[in-house]
Amino acid sequence: MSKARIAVIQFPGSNCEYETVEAVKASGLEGSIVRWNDLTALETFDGFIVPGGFSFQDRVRAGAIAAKLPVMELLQKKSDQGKPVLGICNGCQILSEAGLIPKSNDHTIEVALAYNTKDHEPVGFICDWTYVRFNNPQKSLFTKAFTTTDILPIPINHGEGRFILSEAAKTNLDASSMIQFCDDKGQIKAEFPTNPNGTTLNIAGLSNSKGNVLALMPHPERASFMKQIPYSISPHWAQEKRQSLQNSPHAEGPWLKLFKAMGTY
Amino acid sequence: MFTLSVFSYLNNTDLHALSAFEALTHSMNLSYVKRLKRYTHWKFTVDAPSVSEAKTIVETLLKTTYFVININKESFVLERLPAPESDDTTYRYEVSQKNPDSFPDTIASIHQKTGLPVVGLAKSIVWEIQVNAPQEKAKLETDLIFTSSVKQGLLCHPLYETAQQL
Repeated sequence: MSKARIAVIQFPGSNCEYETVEAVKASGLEGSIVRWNDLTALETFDGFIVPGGFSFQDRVRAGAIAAKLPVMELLQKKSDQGKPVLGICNGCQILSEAGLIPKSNDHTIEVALAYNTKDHEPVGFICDWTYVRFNNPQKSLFTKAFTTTDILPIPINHGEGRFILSEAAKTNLDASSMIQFCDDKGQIKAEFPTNPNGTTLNIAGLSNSKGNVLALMPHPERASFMKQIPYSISPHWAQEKRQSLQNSPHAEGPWLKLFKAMGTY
Repeated sequence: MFTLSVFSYLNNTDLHALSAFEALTHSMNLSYVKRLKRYTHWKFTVDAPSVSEAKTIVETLLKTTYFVININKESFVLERLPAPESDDTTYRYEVSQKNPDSFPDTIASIHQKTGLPVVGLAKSIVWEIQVNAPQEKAKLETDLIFTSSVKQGLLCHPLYETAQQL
């Protein structure tokens, strides 16, 4: 059986495509970096990742210019066909600006990624490790391998990561898989630092209702190997890291199965 | 206490405006858009005894420091936007955050480093849109302003920004 072929789409200003394609390859899939305007090549892939970075220098708004390009109509078509589409950080912003979440097959824009806030005041760019947990993980192919009791570390690196939802989107959240910021005990608290950027309902990631599109602000490609997890994050994860690195320097981290899921659609 | 408006703009190519123009005219096929210019609208609240002294304070701040604009590559006008650069039909929209930044750190730095009595600062973006023929307000706002889909709206995200025609 041939491996699923995943395109990591490189926009002008992307800067996480190489580490993302490494995570794809480590998950047993075939990964390639493909430029945003090579639509002929992109048509041939089985799944798509829009990686992190600063596409078009965040001109107008983060993700706004990239979302207007022909490649997004291709991603709308592919997502309508059921192909997996993952947006990470700037990719999350782009998918939101293109209306790929939270609805399926109706790509009106229902979600915004606004600038970070702390106590309702703008707080600027944040670069830190956080914890997240899963709500309705079975609703998305990306998260169905996770459980509601998983509490996982993951880094964030963004200036505009605050999810804002339309009223219609808020009422339909049960149809989506949701990844939420929590503390190291799994408590979902609205206050900083558990909620690092003021995001609505602590949302860090959201799927479409069909489950084949996931937009995620934190960086799973930076927590896909145990060597990437800092010893300082907690005694539990430091112990996990020590034990796993005894077996292999490239031991699987907590987020590699998110990429593996792209081969299961 | 006086509040003064300052409109700043880049002296050379504004890549934000250029990319927005490209998106509107090529990706969104809005061929009636002829030109796009972007101003940053700063509102300074100054603790001064008269308007003229408040103007002097703001001009001193902008011309002699880098706290708000970079005078090497930006120019500014006080109080009123300059006239459009052509006779084409022109619309102006001001886009503001619903939860605006009040720049407390910048104001604290201005006090600490210069002693100038700036007590408030706010920022918004003014888009100047030149078109080849008059457009209905509703159409203009659907086509260009309030983003609702890949093919409609760009300059304002209505979930966290507001826009009003000037």
